Amino acid sequence: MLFNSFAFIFGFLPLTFVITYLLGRWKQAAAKVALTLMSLGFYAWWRPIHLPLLLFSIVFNYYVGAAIQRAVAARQGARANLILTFGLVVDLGVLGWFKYANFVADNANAVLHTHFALAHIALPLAISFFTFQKIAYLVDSARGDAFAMRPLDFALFASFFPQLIAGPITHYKEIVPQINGPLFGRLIWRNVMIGLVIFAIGLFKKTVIADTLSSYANPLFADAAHGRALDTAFSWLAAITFTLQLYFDFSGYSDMAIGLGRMFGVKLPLNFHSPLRARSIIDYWRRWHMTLQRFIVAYIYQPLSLPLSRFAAEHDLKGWPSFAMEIAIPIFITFVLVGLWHGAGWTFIVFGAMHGVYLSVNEAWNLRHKTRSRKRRKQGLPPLVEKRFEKALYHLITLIAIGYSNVMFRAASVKDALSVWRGSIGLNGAYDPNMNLQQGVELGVVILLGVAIVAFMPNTQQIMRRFAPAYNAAEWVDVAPAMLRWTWTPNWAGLLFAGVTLFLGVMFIQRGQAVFLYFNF
Amino acid sequence: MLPLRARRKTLLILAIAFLTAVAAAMLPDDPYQRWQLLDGTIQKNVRWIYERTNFDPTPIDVAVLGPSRSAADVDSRELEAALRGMGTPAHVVNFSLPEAGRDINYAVARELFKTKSPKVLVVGIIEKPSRFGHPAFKYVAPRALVADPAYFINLNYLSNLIYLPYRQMELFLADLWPSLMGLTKTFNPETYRGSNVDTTGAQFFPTRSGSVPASHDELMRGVHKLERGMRPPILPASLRDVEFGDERHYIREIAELARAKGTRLVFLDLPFYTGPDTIQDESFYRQFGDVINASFLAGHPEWYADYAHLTAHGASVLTAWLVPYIKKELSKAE
Repeated sequence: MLFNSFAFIFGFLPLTFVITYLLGRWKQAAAKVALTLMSLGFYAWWRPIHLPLLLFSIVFNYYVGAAIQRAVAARQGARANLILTFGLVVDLGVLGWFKYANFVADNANAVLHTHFALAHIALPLAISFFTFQKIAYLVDSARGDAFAMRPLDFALFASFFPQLIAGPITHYKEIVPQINGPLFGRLIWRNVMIGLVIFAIGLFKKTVIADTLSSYANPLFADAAHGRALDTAFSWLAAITFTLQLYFDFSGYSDMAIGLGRMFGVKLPLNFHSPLRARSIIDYWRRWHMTLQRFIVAYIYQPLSLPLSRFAAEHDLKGWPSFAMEIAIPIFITFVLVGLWHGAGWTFIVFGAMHGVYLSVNEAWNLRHKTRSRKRRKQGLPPLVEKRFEKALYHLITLIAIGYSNVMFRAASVKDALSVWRGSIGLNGAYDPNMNLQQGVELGVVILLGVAIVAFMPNTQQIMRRFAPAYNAAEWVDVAPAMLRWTWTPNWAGLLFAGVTLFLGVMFIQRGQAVFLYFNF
Repeated sequence: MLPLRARRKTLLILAIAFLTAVAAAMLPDDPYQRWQLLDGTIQKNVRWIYERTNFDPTPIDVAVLGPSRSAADVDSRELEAALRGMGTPAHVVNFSLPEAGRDINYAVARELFKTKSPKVLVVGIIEKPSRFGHPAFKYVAPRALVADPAYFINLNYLSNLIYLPYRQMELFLADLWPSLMGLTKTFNPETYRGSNVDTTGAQFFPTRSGSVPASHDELMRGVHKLERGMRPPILPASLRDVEFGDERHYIREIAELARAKGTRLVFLDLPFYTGPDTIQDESFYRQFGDVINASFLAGHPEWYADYAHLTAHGASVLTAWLVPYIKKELSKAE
């Protein structure tokens, strides 16, 4: 079920709300049972055949997590690691089978000229998200950060519908204490009001902004897929439009998830913090899909980087070899895996590889900057201060790099992406007279509006800052302040804003319920 | 800050959203632009229907309304030519639209009777009456019609109603900036498709010739699919007005419009390939006019372009068969 559907907004949500809070007045456990069952129903609505997979994931990880926790409590580190490895192998095996088996078979056949036949395996909805959540839980258990809990609490933690389909990817310590808190299941209207406003903003971002942008981006990428060479102007319009669409789509979804969580008394962690205002690719990844980023840092990058750093130290590597071993290689591998996580296709692998290179270059640049600063300090010179044009230049380079990688992310094939790239540097001609000029002008206006929102408007957590809108909002609300500093207040103007935003968000569903881009992962 | 509790503020937000929707639904529109909302879709003929009824002074003597089968099966140009050839000149139009749902026929009939006085109205019917409204209704029907639930348990009502504010906002903007929204306010005789537009053959099947009969396997696949989707009445006969509210309510309304203008009403049953020769609720239709049953078609695979729609040749056969009936009705109307 989509958050941006009438079935959800006028059916599922009110029903779940009433059932949960009515039962919550009687018993907290009853509210949990209701919310868990409704969440499973929410998942099954899309494709009921995959519900058993989610149930397996919940049951399996509950028992494996409990076994790890017992081993950790008994100080049996080796045993805990063995069980953890078993759990990870099964979780990743299931993910690999459903998500990558066809891709591997197709590529093996192409390379080895074999005809290994594998029936098409339908990708279960949200498998990447709920698998990562479970992996985080198992690792947290092994690290002593997650503790034993009742099956019902785990089932709710693992299936809680606001975060089930496309994140945020949550940790035990963020959610479980909240659903075990004394206030859970009690109707607190302040939470409902705040959640509703956040949900309305997210819905507006999705249906009004992202879907408008998609109506322009899709035909351009379809043209590229049909072999039409986009000219320079339309290649750039395609890249910029999709970058904005992806941002508003996924940040809109994340806002809705956070808003819905809050309506049910749970603060979810942030997933976006104005990433397109970042001045470096490192900063961009800190603020784009934040819960995925912290997952990959904690569970992929660090485990890769530590042994490689040790290797570099043991072999007394210096300079670029050391940089490559300690930073560039683990970053590159990590981001290729991030690309693969997004989808089983070469476009995603190249997308990941591009970001691996971007980040490595960014790290090298930072290293050079630090070295220069150190030298200047030694020479008694004043520290380097970035000039305004330098900041603007860094921002521009970051956005261009993101735009190019997003073309790869969006295109149906690497060939299509290369065609758009060629167009962007003028190899397909500066202007194709057959292209629809009026469409280009309209799109230009839409892009300007989108850019203005990104550049000048506060983000959702900044708008809602006085209500601690998310689990970790306090850490972020002062980062990258917007030019327009406006915070929501429940006065007449604020209520009017919320009501009209909700109205527009709901009304624009009428244009067609476009699936969230991240539902594909 | 307002001195209200969060509960009241939450309800106020919902109330504001609701009132904004009501206000948006009340925005004025230009009906001509409304009938253009389906340009570029399979329902594109609605624009022509509006132009024919509102901008073309040519009278309409015989009009055909109904679902896709009557669109594909009745050739209005051949019917007009045949009547002329028999010494009964009459202007014929086929205002049938793809997909089932009687509410859209009523919306079209209102436009028709607002400006014209047809002598005969042919309403296409099929073996089972419709339970649900037509998907095009919410786009073209006037605001008051969309806001009116019309009958008890109108299953399309809420989804139609919730579309209204969005539609009215779009039309309001189109009224202010027509070119921006791609909806014109002025009728252009040069792009007008004429007084009589063919709805059969290649016009109905734009992706195939419309003159090639389907293979037997293809026909049977379609027939089986159709039969699998057929549901016998669920409620007792006394509650037919509830279960088949869309069909029965709007047929009554169409009959009332026809009666007020002295138009003769004829129901034309068009079977699918191998379909039954009986009509559920035939007695209901007979209250308002004659029922003509074209069940002879059902045994002729060579006339069907798919399981339920005739080829251009099949349409010619049916139209020729229909001529004497229409001629008789026209003479009765004189």
